[in-house]
Amino acid sequence: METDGAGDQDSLNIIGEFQAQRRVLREKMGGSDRIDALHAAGRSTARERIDALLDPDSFQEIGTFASSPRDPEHTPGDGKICGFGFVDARPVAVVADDATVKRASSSPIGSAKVHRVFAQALRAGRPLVYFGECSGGRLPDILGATGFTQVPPDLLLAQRQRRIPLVTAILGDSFGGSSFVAAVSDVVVQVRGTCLAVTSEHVVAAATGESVSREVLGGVDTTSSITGVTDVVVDTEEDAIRRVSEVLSYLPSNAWTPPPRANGVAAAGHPDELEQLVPRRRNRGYDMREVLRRIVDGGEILELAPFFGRGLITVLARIDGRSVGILASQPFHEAGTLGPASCDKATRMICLCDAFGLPLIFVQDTPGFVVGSKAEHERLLSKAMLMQQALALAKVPKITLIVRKAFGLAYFALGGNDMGTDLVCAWPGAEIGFMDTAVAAAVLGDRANEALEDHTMGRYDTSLLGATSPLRPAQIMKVDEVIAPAETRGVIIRTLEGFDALPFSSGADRPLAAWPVRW
Amino acid sequence: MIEIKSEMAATVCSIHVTPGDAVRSGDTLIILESMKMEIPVQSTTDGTVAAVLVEHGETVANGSILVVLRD
Repeated sequence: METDGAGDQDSLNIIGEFQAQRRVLREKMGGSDRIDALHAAGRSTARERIDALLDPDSFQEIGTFASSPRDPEHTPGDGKICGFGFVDARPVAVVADDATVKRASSSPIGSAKVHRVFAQALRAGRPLVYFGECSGGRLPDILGATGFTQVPPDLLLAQRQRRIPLVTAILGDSFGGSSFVAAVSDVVVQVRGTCLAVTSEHVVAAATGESVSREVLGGVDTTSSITGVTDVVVDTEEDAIRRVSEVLSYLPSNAWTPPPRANGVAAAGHPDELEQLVPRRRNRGYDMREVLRRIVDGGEILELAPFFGRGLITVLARIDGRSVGILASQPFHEAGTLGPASCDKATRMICLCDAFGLPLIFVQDTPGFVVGSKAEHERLLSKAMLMQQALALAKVPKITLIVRKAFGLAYFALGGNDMGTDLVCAWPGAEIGFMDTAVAAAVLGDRANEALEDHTMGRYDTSLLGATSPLRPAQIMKVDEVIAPAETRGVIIRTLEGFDALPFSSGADRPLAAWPVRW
Repeated sequence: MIEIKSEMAATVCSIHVTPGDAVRSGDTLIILESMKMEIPVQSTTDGTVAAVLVEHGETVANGSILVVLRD
């Protein structure tokens, strides 16, 4: 076969030039000055963030050569860096907003890149990670009807139905596009000092005259405790990226795959400490996280939305190497009651775990649903029933443990008997009943002659306490078993092992997978 | 100035600080009672107690300012 030496040389030149051009595009991004400014502020570029997340040399980029037809020279990559790679040797798709190009604003080509990655992530069943700091819609590009209609919200996100995990980290101020992605993500991590909102304070001031700071609009105090959009607050980008990896480690790559199984390790402390951690004095608060740490592998818990609906904690953890989701009363806050916010938090957790095959464990020490005008006005009734519907539809294994109080509808809402729970167990000191005995005594006491009230309260108190023993429902098979605190971890492990004979049920068969992520 | 607020409607059960006290983040400032449970209200910062705005036995609403701290 004849070779054409000149042709080879041309071809080498073409490839060499191409490689040089590509290197410049990827290294210079929106300009060295802008990269330097990011670094000076202690921040990283989109590509550096992707490299920090992914296994070494695993990034396979798409859309390197995309740019805006309006201004190709100044829009390398058009504000979005996209592609695929591996985290802990598992495939993921990743999108990172590039603040050096038009402040990562939303444009037709940038949006097309993101859409392409979403589609391929869904098709290949790999989790999607989004590093968000979009400044909003790009003006004037999308101001008019022609541009505007080319940047619709991505339908694929709304149609995801939790077939793949979607985890967003907000690493800079986020308005529009990246905020929309965050709000439909399974888990949102936000760096302190950033803003996660629909619009910026400038738009707010122009539209309504309201003068408001970014911090108030969407700083971490707002998003983690008022709106509940942010699940994990961190101090640095590095922390955020580590947290994203950690979240992914608990979840399967997609809804058709079981969650990853790690090697089981012992819980923190000694099982006998469990009994001491829950105060015998029934009105004394304590930190439920310390109880959970003595049940889960290595005492490690990843708490989601810790500042939102604080009477209930929702955590990801492992028990004997299995990923589980735990919903536990937190007597340290809000008396461990269920309120409007904690109901929403619970519903989100139930949907997440059910969609991705994580068993649900409920740990109860609750005096009941919060009562009062504030809770009623904040739609407690609707939210409580939404939570109950989610629980009723959840198909993953469910275990309920009552460590102290289980009163009122909250007992059933948190996986009480006849709620489809696979095992309801209680510690011997637990109390189960319609309402706290002390409240009951006060309510019933109102009917009695005031002069007799003290005597009456004493009488009701005594008789009601005996009536709330978990041995009563255990006798009539409403509580499956009463167990010693130190036996808890073993009982959970054996109950979960009991499900190993079942074929894994795909998330596509689980209705909660299609429930909204936030509402 | 940092305002420490009640996270729910409650009754003031006990007060553990007086103005001028130095407190550390996590110190219990006040114990509230609600839903027959004691709720410790902790300092969110290191600082000094500038004012205690409630009294023993007082009923407080969700969001009421209980204690004001200064850095």
